[in-house]
Amino acid sequence: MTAAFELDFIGLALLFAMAFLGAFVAHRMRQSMVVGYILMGIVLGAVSVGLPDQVGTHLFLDTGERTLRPAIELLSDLGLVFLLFFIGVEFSMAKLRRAGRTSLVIALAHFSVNMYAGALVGMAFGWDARSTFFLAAVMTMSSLGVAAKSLIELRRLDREETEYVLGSMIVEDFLTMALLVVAMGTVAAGSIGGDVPGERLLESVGGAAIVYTVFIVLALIVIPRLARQVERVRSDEVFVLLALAAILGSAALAYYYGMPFMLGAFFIGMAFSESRISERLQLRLLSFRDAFVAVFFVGFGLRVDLAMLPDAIGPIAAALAVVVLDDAVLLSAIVYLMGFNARSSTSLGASLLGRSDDSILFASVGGSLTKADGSRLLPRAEQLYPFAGGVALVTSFICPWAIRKSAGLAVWLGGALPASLRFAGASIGRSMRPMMLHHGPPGEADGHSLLVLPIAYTIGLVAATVLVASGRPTEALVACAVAAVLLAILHWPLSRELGRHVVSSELVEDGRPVVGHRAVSAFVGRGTTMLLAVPLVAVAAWTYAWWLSPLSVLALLGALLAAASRARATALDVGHKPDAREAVERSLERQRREMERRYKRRGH
Amino acid sequence: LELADFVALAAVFAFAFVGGHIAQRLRQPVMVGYIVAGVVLGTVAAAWSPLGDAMYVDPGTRQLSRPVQAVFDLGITFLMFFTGMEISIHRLSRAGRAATILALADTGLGFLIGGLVGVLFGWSWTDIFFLGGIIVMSSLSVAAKSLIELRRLDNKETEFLLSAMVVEAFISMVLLTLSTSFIVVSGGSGPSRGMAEMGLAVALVYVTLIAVAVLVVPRLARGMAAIRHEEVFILLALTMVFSAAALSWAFGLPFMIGAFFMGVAFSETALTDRLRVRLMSLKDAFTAAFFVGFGILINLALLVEGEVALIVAVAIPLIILNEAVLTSTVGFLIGLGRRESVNLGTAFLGRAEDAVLFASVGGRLKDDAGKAALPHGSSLYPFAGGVSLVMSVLTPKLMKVSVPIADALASAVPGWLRFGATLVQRTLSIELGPETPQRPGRSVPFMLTTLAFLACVLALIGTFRRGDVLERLLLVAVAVVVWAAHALAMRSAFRQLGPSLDLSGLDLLTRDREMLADHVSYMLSALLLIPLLVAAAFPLGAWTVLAVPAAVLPVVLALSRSVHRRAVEPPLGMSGQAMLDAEAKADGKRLQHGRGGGPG
Repeated sequence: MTAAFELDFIGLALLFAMAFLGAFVAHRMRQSMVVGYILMGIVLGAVSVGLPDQVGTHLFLDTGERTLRPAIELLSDLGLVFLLFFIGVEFSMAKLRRAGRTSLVIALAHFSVNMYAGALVGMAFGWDARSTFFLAAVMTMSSLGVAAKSLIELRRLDREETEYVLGSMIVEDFLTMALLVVAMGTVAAGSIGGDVPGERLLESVGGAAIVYTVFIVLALIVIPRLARQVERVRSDEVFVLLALAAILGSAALAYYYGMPFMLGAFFIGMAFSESRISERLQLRLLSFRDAFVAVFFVGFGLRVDLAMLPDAIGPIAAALAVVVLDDAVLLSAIVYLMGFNARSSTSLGASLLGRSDDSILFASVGGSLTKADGSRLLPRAEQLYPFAGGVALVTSFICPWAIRKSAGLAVWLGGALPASLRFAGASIGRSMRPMMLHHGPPGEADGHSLLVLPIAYTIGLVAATVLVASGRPTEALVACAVAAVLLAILHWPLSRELGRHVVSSELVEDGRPVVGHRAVSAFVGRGTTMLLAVPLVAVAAWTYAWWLSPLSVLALLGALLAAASRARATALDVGHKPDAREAVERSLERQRREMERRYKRRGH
Repeated sequence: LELADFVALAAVFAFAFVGGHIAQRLRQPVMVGYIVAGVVLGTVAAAWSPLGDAMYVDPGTRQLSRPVQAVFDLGITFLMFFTGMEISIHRLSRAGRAATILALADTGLGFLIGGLVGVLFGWSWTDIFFLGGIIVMSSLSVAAKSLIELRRLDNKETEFLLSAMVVEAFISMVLLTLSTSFIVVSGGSGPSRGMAEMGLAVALVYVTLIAVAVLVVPRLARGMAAIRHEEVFILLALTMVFSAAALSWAFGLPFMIGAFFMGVAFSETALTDRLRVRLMSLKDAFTAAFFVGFGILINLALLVEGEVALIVAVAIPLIILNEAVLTSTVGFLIGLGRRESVNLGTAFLGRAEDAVLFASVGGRLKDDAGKAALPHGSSLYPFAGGVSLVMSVLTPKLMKVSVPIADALASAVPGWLRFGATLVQRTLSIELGPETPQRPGRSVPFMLTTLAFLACVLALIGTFRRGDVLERLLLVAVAVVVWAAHALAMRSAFRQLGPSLDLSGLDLLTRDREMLADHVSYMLSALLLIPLLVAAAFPLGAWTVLAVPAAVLPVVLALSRSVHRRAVEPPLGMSGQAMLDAEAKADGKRLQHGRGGGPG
């Protein structure tokens, strides 16, 4: 533009007034502020469309296209930069390590379940691959803010599962950023949906490599040294300038190498997170974050075009149903299988229900991607905003409520589920519990195979998923086959390890103690492997057709259920002589000896 | 945002950091570092097109690019808001008439000098206004900083000095508002407006802002204090700042005026400290960006081509003359001690953000066609930059040597002149000082005529561009009549003050207080003739600025000489003691006469 640029203060005033209102009301209603910002943004957007001359021109260059005025876009992008910088600065490897294995598994499970479900929703509504990717990402990203706020409100901070909620959120933040990097590297370069030659992909991968190298060098070598120098800058006034220059400079660097600018801010934050000036940085830049992040969210709300709502309402409804099902039921079930008790599991699942800042982040990144000619890259970008807005608003609204009701859900599920399912859950869960929930360093008993193999298997799965997404079914199948082999190898050490922990004596049903110890431990091993095979089957079936994937997953789960039912029958000796007292006593005796042996071993 | 935007912003902040850091190391104000860094950045960008494309929309006209302009504007907004917060209405109202007179005198003298310089270099009237503004705007922050460093905060004159500067800043802001709206129709997207409409808009903005300050802000502040959540608090604070900016912007005034008045409104609340803490880093960062952006706007080529270097070289001695000598004199005349008044004058020397601000308002004014409204608009940047750089570095040094300056000045002045000045000072310090039981109440005609006189001078200044000779002559005639009336009113007022006049230490040979009071009032009236005549004769040419004082000052000097001769020097053939005796006899007679007549 050649005309003189001016800050439109009327627009700014409106924006901040709405942000204030949103924050104030949300704070009063004990909701996450993000909800307030977005709602007010939507209201303001609707008003500006209704009154284009009085309000609209101060906010939009073009009310129809919903392109924000440059100044507002500038502030909103700065908000994004500060948001990501703060995510980065609060990241630390130490924190991640402290989160532990359990949180890692929960985060992975949550992440993959929701991404999968999101992909299904997108496919079901006929979205293209790229848009579906962002839709799934929007559906996946749980909000630490919403969860923390709800847990504080409900005074649940000292409960067993809270630690894991927060831990898995931290892990998920990592996953989010990794996904964003991947998304930018591949989606933007056009590998998903593949209509761009490989050269450009290479180029973007090269750019990404340069950026990563630069930031790794920065984080490991430059910043620790620099931090000592910077500490000597006494004046806060000048210190702030340095911080801003660093953040904006790294955003520019990332941009230059074809990555989204907010990743630069994120990385520089991460590079600073372990340094000794990280606290000072956070303190000094706090007001920037408070002010501009609000603008970012209100700006997001502004872009939500309510006229697009009818188009987006189907996906929103489906996504909401799926998210609630995923988190409150499926994830609770998975967590239960990992050894949490019923109430903790449902409470954990409900806590992960809130979607807000990260989802919005993905939607706005996806929506802002443009092709070389300036048109939107995602065909569904228009719907992505209302979609993310709707999902975020509803989920963060119901999250606290769901946490409060989670205990009831646990009771209800306990009563409603068929006996065989309950049996499967209880047996696997109790066997996993010592593995998953023990505190302290991992014992030697775990063995290396139990560390390396799951990781290798996960990598194989990720590779297969990426290959499916980039439209290479043959290679994907190969990757699936490799993963299947890895899983098969994993099966033996896993079932042996689990078998050691099977405590069938505690499995009491209807007052009848379990007798078929071997059957139970065989089932635990087999069932766990089958559960681990679920993602594999899902991916493999997807190579043929997307709808086949959920069907085959259901089939696998059915098989698991059948196996559970059989094992239960054997273990409880249902249908056999009910007065096999001898067998029962023998079994109990063996278990007692086993316990003693383990006790002794632990004593040494 | 595009790559160029990030590059531009990163460059601005990086240069600001380097400049600020170095300036702090060298114990100079950070602003100096920022502006110099901005000049360097601008020069580099103008020469090297990859950076130039990021920094400028068009490197030729030095129009800032989008993001730089945005942080620049935000910087002004925050700067003005914080400047406004320094100016409390409480302090303004407490400043008293003495500080107001000092501020008025300083402003008037500054604009006079600006006019002189501008006319000398052939600038247009609108340019001259902003030139004068830059010359007038003393920096509160430079003064405050140096006062702290020199440990003068507890000095007697400091409170007075700060009040006077606050008043001056306030006057300048009001002038800026009025001028930008009347000189040129604002550089907004607003349609062109007529004079009356503009006046209405200005009045409306003022009324609204005053209403907000008096009615809304105190109530709001109580509500804000109850907001414990900092995020919400910051958002509300920013909303207030931007709404005020938007209000003045919507009425076609420069947006910073609104931010300034919002700051003034908040200065009275209990929230100032919290606002300062919470908005501090925003203010620091954006203010730095503003100064760097200002540096970027400085086209070094104009220093030579536009003779700006020369103008700066001419202006700086004049500023020093104005503040260190003339303002000190005014300070002395209105009742400060010798050293105190020079302390005060040198403290007024600093030029910093306010001057830069005046320049950046003037430099970006646009007329309806979107062209720069001021012919020398782009020269204002280097001028303000040069003046503020030199003065903010020089001021602390000059303030340090103010005492020797005071002594040198005092010894350079002949005794009879010092006598006259002392008389004026003592008279004025009663008149302007606090009410005491010894002294009669203020004279109403004197006050009324003073106001009328001020109004006449302002009217003369305000209409000097109108070509109607008859109208002008009429106005001058009215002004002269008012002046004469004022002179009479002043004489009678001072005669009443006579008995409480402090005459100790003057070695007087006369007790004729009436004669002394008359002379003081004549001297002051003669001095007041200077602004009147300059305002009246200014359209005739710049020489009037020098000619009028040259004509009037000898009269003042002669008056001082004559009062000295009559009061201190004994007449020929009579010793001092004899004269005193003669007067005492006369007094005694008068006294006896009065006593005799009283009870009888």
